[in-house]
Amino acid sequence: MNDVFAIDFGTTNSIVSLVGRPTGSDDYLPRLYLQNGKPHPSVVSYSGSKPVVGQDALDQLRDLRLGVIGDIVRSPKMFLGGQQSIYLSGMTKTPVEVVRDVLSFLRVDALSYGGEDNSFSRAIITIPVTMDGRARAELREAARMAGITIHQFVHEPLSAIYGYLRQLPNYQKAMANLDRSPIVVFDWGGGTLDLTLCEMQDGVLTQILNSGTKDVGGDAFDKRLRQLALRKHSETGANADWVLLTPSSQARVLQECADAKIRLSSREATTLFVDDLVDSAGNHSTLDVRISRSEYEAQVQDLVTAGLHTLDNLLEQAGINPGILQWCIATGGMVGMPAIQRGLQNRFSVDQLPPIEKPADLIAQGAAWIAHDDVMLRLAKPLEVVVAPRYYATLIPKGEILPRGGSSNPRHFDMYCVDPSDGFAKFQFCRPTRPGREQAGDARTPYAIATLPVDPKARPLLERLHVNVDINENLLAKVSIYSKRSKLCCKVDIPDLEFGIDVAGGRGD
Amino acid sequence: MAAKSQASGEQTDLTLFEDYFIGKPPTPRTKLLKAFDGAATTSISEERLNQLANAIARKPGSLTKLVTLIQEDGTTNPNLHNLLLTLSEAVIRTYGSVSLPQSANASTFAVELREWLHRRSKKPMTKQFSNELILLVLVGLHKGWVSSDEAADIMLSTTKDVGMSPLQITHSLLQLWSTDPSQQILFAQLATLRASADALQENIEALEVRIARLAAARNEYRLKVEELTSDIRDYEAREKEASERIDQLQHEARESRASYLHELRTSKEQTRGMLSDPILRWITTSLTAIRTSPPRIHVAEERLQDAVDMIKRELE
Repeated sequence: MNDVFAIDFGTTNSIVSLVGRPTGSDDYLPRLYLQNGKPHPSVVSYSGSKPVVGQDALDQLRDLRLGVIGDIVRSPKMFLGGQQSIYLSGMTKTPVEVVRDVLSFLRVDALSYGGEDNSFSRAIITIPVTMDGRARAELREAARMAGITIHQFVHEPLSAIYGYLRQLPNYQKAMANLDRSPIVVFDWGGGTLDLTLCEMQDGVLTQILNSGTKDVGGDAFDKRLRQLALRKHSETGANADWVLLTPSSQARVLQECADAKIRLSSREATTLFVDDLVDSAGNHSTLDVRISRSEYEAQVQDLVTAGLHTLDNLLEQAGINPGILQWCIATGGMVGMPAIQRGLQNRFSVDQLPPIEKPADLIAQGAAWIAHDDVMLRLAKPLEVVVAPRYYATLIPKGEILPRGGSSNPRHFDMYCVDPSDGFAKFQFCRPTRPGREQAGDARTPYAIATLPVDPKARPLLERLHVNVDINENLLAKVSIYSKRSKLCCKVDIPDLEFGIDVAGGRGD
Repeated sequence: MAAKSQASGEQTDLTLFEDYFIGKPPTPRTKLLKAFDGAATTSISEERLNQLANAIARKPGSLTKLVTLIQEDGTTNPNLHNLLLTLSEAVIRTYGSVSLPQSANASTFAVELREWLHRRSKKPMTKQFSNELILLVLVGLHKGWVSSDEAADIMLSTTKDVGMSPLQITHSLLQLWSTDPSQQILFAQLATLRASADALQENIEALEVRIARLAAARNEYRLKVEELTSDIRDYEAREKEASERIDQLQHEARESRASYLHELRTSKEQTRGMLSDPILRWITTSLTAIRTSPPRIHVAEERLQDAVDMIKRELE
């Protein structure tokens, strides 16, 4: 699958990657297409005549919010599948157009490296676990507009696990030993904290439970540091109200805080220094405050605690004792923070917390490997319909290979209305709440409900209903139900099918 | 009856002749022919002739001997030939199937012969009938009662009517022609044809030899072709393998180039990234801090120390 590349389309940063052989080596390794050695920020600015994407757009930011900031859109993927328009100062864009600009920039940048056979036109793209079928469809459309055919979607945490497995010297043996072992992916990035509990079942790596929050992303830490710095500056008698700062000063303070946050990971204290903070001359116009790591950690303690509690809650909700966890794969820019490291070390043993080489790139590496190994997606849980209280009929079985770009998987079923007396046939589509727990008595999570008018005078089990289920390339199940008797039809979409990656079926070399 | 050998020019002993047909034991053919060789014309009484004819007519084997003798030996010995014709006429009279012409108008013979044949049609062919027919035709020809064309026509029609075998017909026709001096040209033609046939036969044999040789050569070529086909397949497989290897090497070369370019670009990007942010920014901040009033030396020290540490790490 050398012609398929990967895009880690992250909330904060995006990375294009492709597996290849380093010069003079027989082994394959993921190549990352970076700018100045760093990922491309997922930021687009429309202040000029042409959209500016990446670091140049980020440099224009004076605020750490995600979303729309003036003419700048930060993390545009969060708009997919939701609102129709993004209102910028002086113009309106659709989320698809904004995402198209980011993806197009990533593709052009990768092509500019030169030498590749690859036209960077077929991609595996990472998505959050929470991105539903509608958002996936819009992402596919944006990619198409950028000249990229999405070959397959893959969930970010599964990509992270695969990336980690592929870093291991004997990864196939490691995979074989993972059956039924829970793994948590702890992805604490600049914008969000995403937690996903996964498990390998019959060679398919699938998520069991996921959780996350936007409240404790790395940006929130930067804001706290900024508050701390400005408060300490104010304590010197200066007026450093944020809103009074010049736009240039705001940008420089943000940069200084982000920089200081990193410095405080390796040193006990650092000085935050920004000159010409305000227009007025004098000592107060210069930010010069010293902040120790302990002060900073005290300032963000609640954020760290909240993030770690999210992890505790996830494990508790899943009924998993931290001691039986196989691995906690910690990725994202924030996991290098000593307070977070300590929090994880307090919960897990050294074996459970494997050292990750380049954790910020792990998802991109995993996606590149998934593309290279031609790893397919499989349905993690059966798609069922309730036929009687606590009785379920499987429409699409667990493990079904899911369609890729340009294909679909239609299925047809005939069913009979059991009780037409109220004039409606009711269909409740669901899946087992936990993978592998699929007995009649096990808990189910509903997908969708569909109702179709039927003849109330007809006797039970007379009226035949044709049920069509078509899982398309966006992994959206489109269900249509038709009654030949009444000639009526109803349709319902199931956008949140749960799927895993077929790790055992991958072509590893 | 004891045979008595005669000297040349003497009367032939007819007993020897009779015994050839009806004697017990019969006179051997060679002895009969020797007795008639160079002997004077032999006359036979009508009574003795009729007795012998009756005996031959009753005995199919004797009729066969008569027909054979006329066809094979009668032509070379005029004495024997005349005696055989006289005997044949007596036999025909004994059968009574066709009456022999008494006047100069001999056309009645052919008419009667055809009528007899017509009556016989659709009946199974017998040796007796065949011999009787040949005897009739031969006598007719020698007496001039039928022409050679008529005789041939009668014989051929017999094929259809009574089912004589082609071999019998051919044999008889040849005999008919040989008794007619006017058919000598046919004999010459036949001889030519025979010579041509022999030549053709030789050609055929030569061709058969050649065909056999060619077949052997063909088999040899076929084996060679199979061998060459196998070689071609091998070469094609090797060519395909070589082509795949070339493709693979080209792919590896492109991959190596891509890898090299990627590593070069990555290296440049990392170096540029490190120098521009944070090192350049730290140095700039350090300068700014030193130039600020009052100078912030501690800030400059810290940033420069960070820059030094980072450069050291990169150098390692």
